[in-house]
Amino acid sequence: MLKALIKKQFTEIFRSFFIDQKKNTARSKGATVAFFILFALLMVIAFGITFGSMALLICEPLVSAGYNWMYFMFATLTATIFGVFGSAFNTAQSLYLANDNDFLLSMPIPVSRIMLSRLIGVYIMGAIYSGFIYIPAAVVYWIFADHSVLTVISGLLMFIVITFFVLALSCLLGWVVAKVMVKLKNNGILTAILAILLFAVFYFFYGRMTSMAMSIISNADSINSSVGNGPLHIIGNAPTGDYVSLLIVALVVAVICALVWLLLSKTFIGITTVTNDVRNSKYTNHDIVSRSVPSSLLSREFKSLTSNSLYMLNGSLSSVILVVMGIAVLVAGFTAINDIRSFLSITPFPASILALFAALIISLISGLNMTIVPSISLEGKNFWILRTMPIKAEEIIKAKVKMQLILTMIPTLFCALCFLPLLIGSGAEPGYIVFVFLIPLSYNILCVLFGLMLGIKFANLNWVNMAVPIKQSGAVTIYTLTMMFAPILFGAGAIFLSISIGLLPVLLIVLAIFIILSVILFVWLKKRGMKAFEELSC
Amino acid sequence: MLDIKNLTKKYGTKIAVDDLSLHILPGEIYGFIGHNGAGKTTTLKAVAGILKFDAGEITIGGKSITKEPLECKKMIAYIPDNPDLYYFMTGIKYLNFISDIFGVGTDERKEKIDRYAEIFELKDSLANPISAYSHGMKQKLAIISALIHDPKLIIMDEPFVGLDPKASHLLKQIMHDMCSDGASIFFSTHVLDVAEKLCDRIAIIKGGKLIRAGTMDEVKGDESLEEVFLELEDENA
Repeated sequence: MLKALIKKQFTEIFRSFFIDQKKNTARSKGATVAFFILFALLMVIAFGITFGSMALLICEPLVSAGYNWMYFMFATLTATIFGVFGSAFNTAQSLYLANDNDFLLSMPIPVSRIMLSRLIGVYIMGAIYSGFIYIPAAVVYWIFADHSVLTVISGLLMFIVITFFVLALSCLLGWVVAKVMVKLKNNGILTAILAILLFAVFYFFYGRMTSMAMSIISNADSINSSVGNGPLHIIGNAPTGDYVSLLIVALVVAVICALVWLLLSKTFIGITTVTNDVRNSKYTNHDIVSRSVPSSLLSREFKSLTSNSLYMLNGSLSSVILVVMGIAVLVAGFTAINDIRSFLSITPFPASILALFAALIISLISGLNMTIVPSISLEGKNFWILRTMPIKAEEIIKAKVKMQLILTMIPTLFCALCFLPLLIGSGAEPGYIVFVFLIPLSYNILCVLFGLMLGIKFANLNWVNMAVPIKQSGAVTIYTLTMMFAPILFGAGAIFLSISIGLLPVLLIVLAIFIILSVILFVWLKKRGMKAFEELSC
Repeated sequence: MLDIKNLTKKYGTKIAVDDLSLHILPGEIYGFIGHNGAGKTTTLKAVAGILKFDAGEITIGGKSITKEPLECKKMIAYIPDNPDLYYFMTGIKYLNFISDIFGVGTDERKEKIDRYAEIFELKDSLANPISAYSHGMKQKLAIISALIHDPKLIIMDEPFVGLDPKASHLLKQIMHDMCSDGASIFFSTHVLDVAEKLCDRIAIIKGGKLIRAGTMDEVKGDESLEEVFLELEDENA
């Protein structure tokens, strides 16, 4: 029974690996395995390089000073924070808010089995998030510090312990989030504000990772004396081959897991079957409002977005980050530039490089807005409504495109404007400043077209859990990875090429590439994308 | 009003609807009955423009659903068997949305919303979110949204499922009134008593093939519809 439930859960999370959406048939075993290998490779390349380089930075100084435990303490704590905050909202959605709750509860299945099968999904997500940090860190340690069999085994066992710790904390946080979501039903915005606060904590740690690493290196002696042989020391020692520490950590995590399991068992049915007290409320004449078709379709998109905190956060969090970053640049831009100048001993700091940096960072952040990607799959079983309406597919698509452009272009423009005083004050020429606007805005258009293509190609209208199209689909994974690394690659390429032909022509080339790619995607969408959209059926 | 000629729809190698032809006149209530998986929903979805089909032709008011889908969709309303509506909207916002798409003016939509919400006793709940509606309430809302733009052809898949007796009675009344005004209704049902009393003509489908069609008298003669249906099912087994 449990096996069947886990299989169902697993199939739901990795549906696109098992089912060919285009033909609506099951993939062959070979194709499924190939997809999993490809996915794993993408993850290893993308996150292995990013977090591996960070691990390399602190491994050597700490190990040579004899603070091996401190290295792993840093890796373990960071991996735990990433694992927990990365999957908190996914946990609430997967554990409590799935569409098949009533169906499963009506079957002769013990509640504990349903919970356990749901927890498998949460466990996988938490393990992936924490693995992004911990595995590159451990591999770096094994390569450069100690690759004895006992150390490698203890490192691997510690990863398993971490994943269970992450699971317990995710469930705890997911439980809090679900409680809030249930109380604030139909008020996605308030739920999203709570989530943004959680994400602020997440990004606080993320943003300070490098500085924390540097601070650990420079203050290793004082940290060592203040931590002594306390819990942090034991946690750090566990993966270095100290099996007593490993056992202690594992036992503590086991106790925490047991306590969380007890809490979930006692509250699971209460949360999943809650029915809110909705009082009848009559409509008034003011509620009857006419709109044009495009305006009505756009309004429908925004209602869908604001009703779901997970959708809002995964799809449009970058809008908030862009505004915050813009204000931060206005307030502390000059100070930051002076700090970088003195750190790199570059005087004066080249304003053209600052323009390139501004264009790329705004592009990078704005590119992570992706309401368009899950928006087609999110139509789900309601898709019949659109299909029976006398409107062209283009009109539906236009509304989806407009929403992402509104959510992204306005904050992008705001952020670019906030860079203006800094750029002008640093002596950037107008020719460069123009690109701080043109490159991110053209990138916004490229992103929306790329996201739309993925949304159509990987459309899945038959989901049970909303987290699947929003967070766990192949389209979202490909989009996120591409948009995270494309600006970085373009930036590196631009700097490399600018040595021989100068920065201004390079910026022009980058802009031209964005425009050409956008045109290619637009033509594909016009010719084949619309047809594919029209052929979707639920 | 509705012409279905040699409709064939396949799912992979399985033929769901096989060379089906039907003709529905203006002002007619046309019942569509058959066992589970007979091809009723597939036919209704093809007529509503939701499903593409492999062969045949469907015309509504003389216009082809494949060549002029938007013109056809302006004339029709579709009510599915399971009314999945936008959970993120309130009932009134959903009706506004449908009215906007079909170009129903403010005064006209207000008059119709008031009238039908009153009839279906949904007036007190229209400002509530659809996510808080019961199955029956969603069904009622789907019916109101179908009626709001005066369709010439209403396609209904098991419209009485989930409705309370009073609402079922009202729906039957409205179906008669609509047809008196010249609209046509094409609906599927498993409730043979209802079909017998309500329909002007009826079609019986089995395994995707039409096995009997005609006026109620032509189809059932002196027997009950239930007896005829079961006999036909056995004959074609």
